[in-house]
Amino acid sequence: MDPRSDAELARALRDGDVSAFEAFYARYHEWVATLALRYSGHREDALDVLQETFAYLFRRRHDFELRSQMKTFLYPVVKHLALARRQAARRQAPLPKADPAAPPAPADETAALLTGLSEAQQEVVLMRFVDGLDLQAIADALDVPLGTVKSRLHSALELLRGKTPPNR
Amino acid sequence: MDEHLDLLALDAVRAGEAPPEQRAHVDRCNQCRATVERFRDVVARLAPAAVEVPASVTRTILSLPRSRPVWRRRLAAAAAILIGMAAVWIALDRRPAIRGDVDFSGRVDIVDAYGLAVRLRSGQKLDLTFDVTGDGKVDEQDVEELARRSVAIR
Repeated sequence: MDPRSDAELARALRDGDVSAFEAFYARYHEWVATLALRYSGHREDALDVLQETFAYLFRRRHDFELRSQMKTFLYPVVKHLALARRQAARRQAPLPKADPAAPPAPADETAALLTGLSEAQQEVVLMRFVDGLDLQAIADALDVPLGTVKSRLHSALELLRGKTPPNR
Repeated sequence: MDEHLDLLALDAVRAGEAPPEQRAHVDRCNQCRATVERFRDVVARLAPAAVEVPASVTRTILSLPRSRPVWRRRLAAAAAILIGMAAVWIALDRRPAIRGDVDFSGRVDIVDAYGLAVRLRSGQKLDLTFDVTGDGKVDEQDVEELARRSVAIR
């Protein structure tokens, strides 16, 4: 495990240190693959998105600046690539109308928990509860004001509190 | 702090981001603690199954820094061609150990006459090592002299 911080790795990557790229991969590849699966809905597509995401990071290495958290940088890249794959798959096999920017319907218990939340609320909840991002990082990744994130999360938490039995 | 915390503050407690006074409140407030526990329960229930990344995918990604882009491959090819041309030029520019032995074969024959004629025609600057007539210059007469020597009875 590379002991350097993400900011130090970003600087090293910019300076041509290949080990920094490997360290970023070791640190984030599982999260990227999981996030890609969330948006693409298919494992094979998620693995393709994983490759494309790190290829993008490598191409950007010379001007790569980490202004926020690494996940904040990666999130929109993964989301964009995964949704593009999903839309391409839809064009090949048309499905009933749905918002192309929304994540595919989650399965089972997750679906039950998120039912009733808007797509924007679901996205914020998943970024907060699954990806472990703080509110500012969510705002940065989604490119929306912090107040918008707070509002979406607050209303989502109200709904979730009502859905969860107190003594589970 | 006796008032209940709002939901965002309770979520911050869950995430370990809340200040100490809010954490202390949750410790002594059953209602707020129960809400934090509900949120923790949601986190556990939302946890996705990990995507197993095959070793082949990892190898492909980690080989990116070692794969040279197209422009580098073209540059390498151009450099190889230049090196080859330089090697030929250096070989042509060598001076023979035997006067008139243009092709470095160790003897003077008709091939040397032909080689010298080619060099003269190409405009290559030749030093007096190729001056087999001894007139202080390298020209067609040296070619003819080489030809004459190569067919002379020894």
